[in-house]
Amino acid sequence: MRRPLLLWLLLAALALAAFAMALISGSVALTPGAVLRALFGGEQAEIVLRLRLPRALAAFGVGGALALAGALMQALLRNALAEPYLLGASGGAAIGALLAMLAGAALAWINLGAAAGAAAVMGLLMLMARRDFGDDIAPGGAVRLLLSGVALAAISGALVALLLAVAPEAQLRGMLFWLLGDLAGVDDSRAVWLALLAAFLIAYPRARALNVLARGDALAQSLGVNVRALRLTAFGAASIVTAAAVATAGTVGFVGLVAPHLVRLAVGNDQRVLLPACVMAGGILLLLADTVARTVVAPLQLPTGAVMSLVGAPLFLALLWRDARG
Amino acid sequence: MADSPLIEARGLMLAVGTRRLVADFSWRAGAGEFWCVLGANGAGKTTLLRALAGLLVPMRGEVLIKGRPLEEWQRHALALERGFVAQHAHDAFDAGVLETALIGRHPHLDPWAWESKADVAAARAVLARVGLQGYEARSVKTLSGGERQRVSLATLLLQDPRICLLDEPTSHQDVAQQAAVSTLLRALAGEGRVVIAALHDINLAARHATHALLLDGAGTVSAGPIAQMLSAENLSRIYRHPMRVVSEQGTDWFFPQTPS
Repeated sequence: MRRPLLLWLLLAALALAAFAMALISGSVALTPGAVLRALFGGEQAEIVLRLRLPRALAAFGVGGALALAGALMQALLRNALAEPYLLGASGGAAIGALLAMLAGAALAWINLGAAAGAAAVMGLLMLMARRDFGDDIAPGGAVRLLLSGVALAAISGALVALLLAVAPEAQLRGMLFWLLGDLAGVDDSRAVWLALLAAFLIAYPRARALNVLARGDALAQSLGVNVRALRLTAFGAASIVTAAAVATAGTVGFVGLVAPHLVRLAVGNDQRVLLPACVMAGGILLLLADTVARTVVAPLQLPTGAVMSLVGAPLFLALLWRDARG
Repeated sequence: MADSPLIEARGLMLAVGTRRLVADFSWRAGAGEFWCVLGANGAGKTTLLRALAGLLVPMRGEVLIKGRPLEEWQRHALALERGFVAQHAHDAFDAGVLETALIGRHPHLDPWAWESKADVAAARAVLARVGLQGYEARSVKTLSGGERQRVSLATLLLQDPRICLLDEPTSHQDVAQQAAVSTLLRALAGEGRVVIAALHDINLAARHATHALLLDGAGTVSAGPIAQMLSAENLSRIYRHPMRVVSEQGTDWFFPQTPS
């Protein structure tokens, strides 16, 4: 039952490699040596410490946060489709952020608007499904919650379209990039890292209970799991990370879906292994996607979220069909 | 009953929707007893088992575990005393057989602890006991219904409660496994536990159970030693179908009458 140490070491090594790649690549290509010197205040310190490292940290943090949210929601709803993007959290965040942009608010307020929008949708979802969170889940309760999220996402999508339609020309480009998920200009990722740490510390001690819950409510209850409290806590933790992630990077899809699936295929579904591995895998995936986004057609920068989906979706499809044939 | 009862119901009333399935049911069971729960489809076997396990709150009355009402028990402490095997297992995600059986250790482990070598060894022994030796690495999603049911049984054995409630543990088993599972349940009772299981095969129940609970689905639950409870008259009443008894060398066999 225990070999995750090797896995975690492997993921940590991959993460380091992804960071190295992110710091080396860019409009000014640096040698690994130059990056190392810059990290300790060498001549390229400006580029590495002020531009690339903060953005890389943000990408990794956001990716890890969304992957953790996806893994938690999948365990909670016992459905491999669940993720923050699909459940409408990103849509809610978009409404909040666009409204703040329309009002001409400063960046901090836009981020706050996004976080509030995401939290509002998750709260609404929790309110609607409060009965289904109970000890004795109604038949189809998890599916109902998932479908409610999809409906909320549709409503948010429609509202976002309306906001875009009435927005002044000058703001459209900024809004569009926000919607596509953009890490350009993100220099402060403390919020997302803090949220990630908090959510992980909340979720990880409950990982084995989540394993039990994945086998059904009746079994979980008879093994002493407080099903209702566990659902609320895990959903709350997922909401915190989602809100922080979308506030930092806008709507980045797919990493919350792909990372847990990738990890599950590799290591199975023991949440004690899966949750930390998901954080690492999500971080690595988004960091790689972001590095591609800002270097592939440099000096032009592509929106990170679009690159993530462009790379993530085919990867997901490949996994899905390999699985189906297997 | 010499020992104090492990499990007891007092004035229990249970309903599903507007149908009252159990009315004013009082009963007690102690160590060494294997109770089979018999009744027609929809008579309330599952509802009764779930209420006895504390998974649903009765409309009226209470269930006592070791003399203490269910609501006074901490979830964790209760999980060490009573186990429940549902009719169907839900595997949201794929997992190995050994891993799934080890889920039963959950209440025995500290929040941060992982299953120990001793737990894994116990899991292997238990899997062998339910006839799943060599299945440890198999994926639960590749198992047949009967095999999956026996994994659930292994999970229960690893939970190791004194009060075992099982909802149709033999429903997907072939004849040999039905007999094996029934023998195992009888052995569990012999280890100082009380076993309460919904069964459909009356003859299997007659061979292995020590006591029977008969649900007529209209509120009445009759309880007693198996030999007294199993009669053509009682069975005809609860199944609403004429039943015959055939005695052969002192053993009674029960059959539904078929129009010939």
